[in-house]
Amino acid sequence: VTAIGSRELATAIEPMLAKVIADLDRARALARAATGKLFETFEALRVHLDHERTMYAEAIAAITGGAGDAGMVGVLREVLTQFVSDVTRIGQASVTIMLEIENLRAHADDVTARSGRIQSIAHTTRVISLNSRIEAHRLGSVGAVFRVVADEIKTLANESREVSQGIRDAIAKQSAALGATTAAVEALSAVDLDVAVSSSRRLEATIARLEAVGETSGRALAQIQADVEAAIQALQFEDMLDQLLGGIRGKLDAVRGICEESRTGDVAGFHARIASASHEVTRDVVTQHDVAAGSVELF
Amino acid sequence: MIRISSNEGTTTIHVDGRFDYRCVAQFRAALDTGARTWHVDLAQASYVDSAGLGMLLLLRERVGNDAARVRLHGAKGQILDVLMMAKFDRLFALDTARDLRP
Repeated sequence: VTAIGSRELATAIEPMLAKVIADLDRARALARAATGKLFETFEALRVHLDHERTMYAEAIAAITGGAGDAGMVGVLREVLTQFVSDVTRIGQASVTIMLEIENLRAHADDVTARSGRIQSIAHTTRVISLNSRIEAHRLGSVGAVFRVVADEIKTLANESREVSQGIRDAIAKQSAALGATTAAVEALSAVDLDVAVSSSRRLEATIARLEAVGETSGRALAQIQADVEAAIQALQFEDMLDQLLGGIRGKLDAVRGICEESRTGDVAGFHARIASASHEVTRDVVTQHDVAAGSVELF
Repeated sequence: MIRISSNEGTTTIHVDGRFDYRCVAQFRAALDTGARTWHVDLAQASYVDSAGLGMLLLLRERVGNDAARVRLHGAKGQILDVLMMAKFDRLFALDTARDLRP
């Protein structure tokens, strides 16, 4: 150095140092811009995830229900329960009607039996009428009165027979109507409840599946959110990097100071600059040497 | 199909196969026994519809809606599913096939 001359050396080194310092400043600016953009992106992602989780939780609550709200599932359960209750009451009413129809049939059978008795009486009466006519004929003119009575009895017997037949015809029509009514009520009462049972089972299975999916998705979203939080924390290393680069710049400035001092010719000042620069260059600018999430140490 | 047996004031209705409107006439005959308590044996029943449930409700009405006086035994499968869906476990004394297992 003595042979070349410290001034020449300083003159040669100083522009190089200036160039290195300029590159370092550019590197700091680039690192700031990149980490700033990453931070902004992760922050937006975190907000978006928060929104997604809230929306998902609201959607699940709308389906499965929440505080004070039965949810869609609760409404479907109520509808199924009401359906079964209504169908059961219809079944009870139908059976009651069928039992009453059986009672009506028994009454109709009783009436038919009684009308049969009326027909039998009418037949007997006709026989009596016929016998009376025979007796009247045998008695000749004396039996004329008997003939009149016999004719009246015959008329009554015929009317009785017609009334009896009318009753039987009416009962037959009623029986036919009861038969049709019974068939209709039987069809009404034969409601298959298996549909409600299978619907209820499918509903419960869907709820279970939905809850399982919700749980899995919730865990996945929470994990993504935790990863994003960790990434955001890790991005704080930009501060550490900036300080490190700033420290390097300070060291380069100290070295450049030596160059400047060498041109003044002040030997004492030159040595003082070297001592000062030596102290500056050997100083640690950061105490932390890696990025542990959540524990960036700055000074 | 229904079969009826009576013993000391208790009439048991044994249901075999389908418990539907085809059983109404036999059910009517069972009601005529005028029993104080009723057992309905559903162990051999394979199907119940709204008419079957309606007959059970009429039986309950017959004993003044006293749940303890109508006991349903041995319900399983489709029968048990329908009874539970209709909440009959709240209206009757219900012993399921599982309850009766030793």
